[in-house]
Amino acid sequence: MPSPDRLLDLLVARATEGLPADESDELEQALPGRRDLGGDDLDLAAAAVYLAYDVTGSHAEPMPGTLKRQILGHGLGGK
Amino acid sequence: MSEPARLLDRVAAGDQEAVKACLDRFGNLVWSLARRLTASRADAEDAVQEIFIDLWSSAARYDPSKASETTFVAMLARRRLIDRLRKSKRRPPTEELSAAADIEQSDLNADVAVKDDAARAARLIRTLKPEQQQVIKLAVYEGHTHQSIADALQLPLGTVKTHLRRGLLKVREAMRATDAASTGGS
Repeated sequence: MPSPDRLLDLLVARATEGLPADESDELEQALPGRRDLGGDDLDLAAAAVYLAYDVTGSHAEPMPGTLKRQILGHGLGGK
Repeated sequence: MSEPARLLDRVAAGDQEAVKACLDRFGNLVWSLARRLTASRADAEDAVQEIFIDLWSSAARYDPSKASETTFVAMLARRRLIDRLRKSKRRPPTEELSAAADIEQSDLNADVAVKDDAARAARLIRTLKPEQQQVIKLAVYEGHTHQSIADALQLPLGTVKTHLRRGLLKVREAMRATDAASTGGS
């Protein structure tokens, strides 16, 4: 079982630059036994930080209509 | 900014009408993330389709006690985009890194409601040292690797990792504290 310090390092890396397959597997195997580390919590924190800096991004360029129609066409079929 | 009434619950329940509502509400956010973190418009279009398919299957995992729906959607989108970036071994050009490292307080989003996750994160970031703010912005917003940030800012790699770890943990704690306050400390 990886140490809590190692798991935190992996969670931070996943939330910022991503993980290679072997480290991703290591994290996925260890996390169910470490609910105290919060699972997705650091990814959510990183998403909140992204949104904090996203001053104009969401308004700068709307999603293309053709892409929207494609996704609507699939509906929940890909679920 | 008030969040929609559990739009993701409707998606999880298979409500087809919720698909359009999700695209209307989150489409521009996901598109802007994809444009920022992919190399081309075609890559962005592929990524956005993957992200929404992921969203349909992951909607049931949304926990309103942890984050807003917007933050949850941004998390799913970022995770998939970061994974694509890592696999493609492409990153934003290094020459843009130094300019992006300059921190202005106006960089932080002021146009959000007080209770929003982003506003909480922005308030927390403003309390960090400038060097910590630079590292967090470059990694989380600009999408640079830890090593490229260390090289550009001439910091030890361990310092970059420590700044990121401490910064994200503080934001996490701020989000948890607000959740606890809004639920009466339960």
